[in-house]
Amino acid sequence: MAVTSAVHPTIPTRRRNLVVVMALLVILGAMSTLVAFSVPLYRLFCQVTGYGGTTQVAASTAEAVPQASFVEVRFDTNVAPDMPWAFTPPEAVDIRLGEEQLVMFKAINRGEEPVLGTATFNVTPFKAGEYFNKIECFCFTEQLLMPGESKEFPVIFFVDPAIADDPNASDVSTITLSYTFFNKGEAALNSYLRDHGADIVSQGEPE
Amino acid sequence: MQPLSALGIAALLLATSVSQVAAHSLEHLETEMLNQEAYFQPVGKDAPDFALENAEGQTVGLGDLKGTVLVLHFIYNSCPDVCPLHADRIAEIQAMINQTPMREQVRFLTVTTDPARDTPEVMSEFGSAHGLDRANWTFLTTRRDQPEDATRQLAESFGHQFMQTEDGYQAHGVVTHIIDRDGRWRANFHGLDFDPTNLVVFVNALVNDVHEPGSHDGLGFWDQLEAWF
Repeated sequence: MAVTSAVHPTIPTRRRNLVVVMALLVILGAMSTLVAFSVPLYRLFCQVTGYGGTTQVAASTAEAVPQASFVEVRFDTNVAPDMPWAFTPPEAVDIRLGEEQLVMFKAINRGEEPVLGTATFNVTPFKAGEYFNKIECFCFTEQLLMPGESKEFPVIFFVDPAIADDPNASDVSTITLSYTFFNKGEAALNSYLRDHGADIVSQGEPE
Repeated sequence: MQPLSALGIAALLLATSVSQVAAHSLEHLETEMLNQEAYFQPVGKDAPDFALENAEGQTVGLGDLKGTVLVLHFIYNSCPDVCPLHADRIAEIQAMINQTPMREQVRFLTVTTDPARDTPEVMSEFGSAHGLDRANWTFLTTRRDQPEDATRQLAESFGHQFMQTEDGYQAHGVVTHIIDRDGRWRANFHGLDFDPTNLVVFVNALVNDVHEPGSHDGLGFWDQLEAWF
């Protein structure tokens, strides 16, 4: 004799069915979302991985790839109109991104009086400034040159390799580091000579 | 390269790399400036906001000037003594800054405290007479819909005190205010006896002050995703 199966499922069975239905609804929702946003998600995937020929952010142009690892750094020097100094920049250099470079600037006091100067600096183009790192420079510090004296000023710098990943700055192939010397004036000079008089004498005669 | 020269350069690199962070930082310069410049006062807070009118009748606010270092001062044309001298000093500093690439990153703001009499025409003549270069100099006065004392109120929020004399003169201090690229009030240079090269050097440090490489246009993952949607 056959036994008739129960018409109403037991409570555990109903709970299992509910879980299955919920899971199917979640999968359905996820699939619908993926379909709805498939275009932007695919674009994002391609941009992150470079898959499908999409250009990655670091290389904005085909020509930029070899330039991205090297940059030319030029140097520019200026003196305030009231300074009898000849201020000479070093030759331009081609450096690898991240590589430290040492260059020497040179100044000569062609006047007949000692002059105390201080320099400001600028990096152009401005968008490259945040990637131009100076480890050692003579900016902001007072520099004394006696009549006829010449002095070399070392600058050590590197260009942050992150510049190649910045879409706004990755096209920079030439950076100019510019210095301008200003005359601190007589009052500052006299104060400096009072404070450093002994050191100046001990260094001997100027060149 | 001679071995000794190579050793010397190596020693220089080693010695300097240790102190590279502090070597020319703004904080280091502020400390130096406090020792060197008696009239220097570091501030370090948001600059008082304003929305004033320039000589062309356009409204200029602090937000419009972000990205530029500002050298701001208050004067009025009929001032008999210090204001003309202050304008001369500002023009001297502007000439120094404008001979460098900083000319594109620094703006000089002259705010009149006597807007009733200092019309744009009057102040344009004042600027020319004192050698202020229009390339990066802006004269500011109250807008027509503002109370007459709006610029004096602004001056007070920059710490100035006014005393009106019987003959119509305004007695107030002589201070040059320096505001950084983010609209932060960074320093005051008091009076007229400060060394102008110190102000130029301080402005230069603010122009070159970098927060984080690439921060000017750093769109994150979610920003890009949001943009696409």
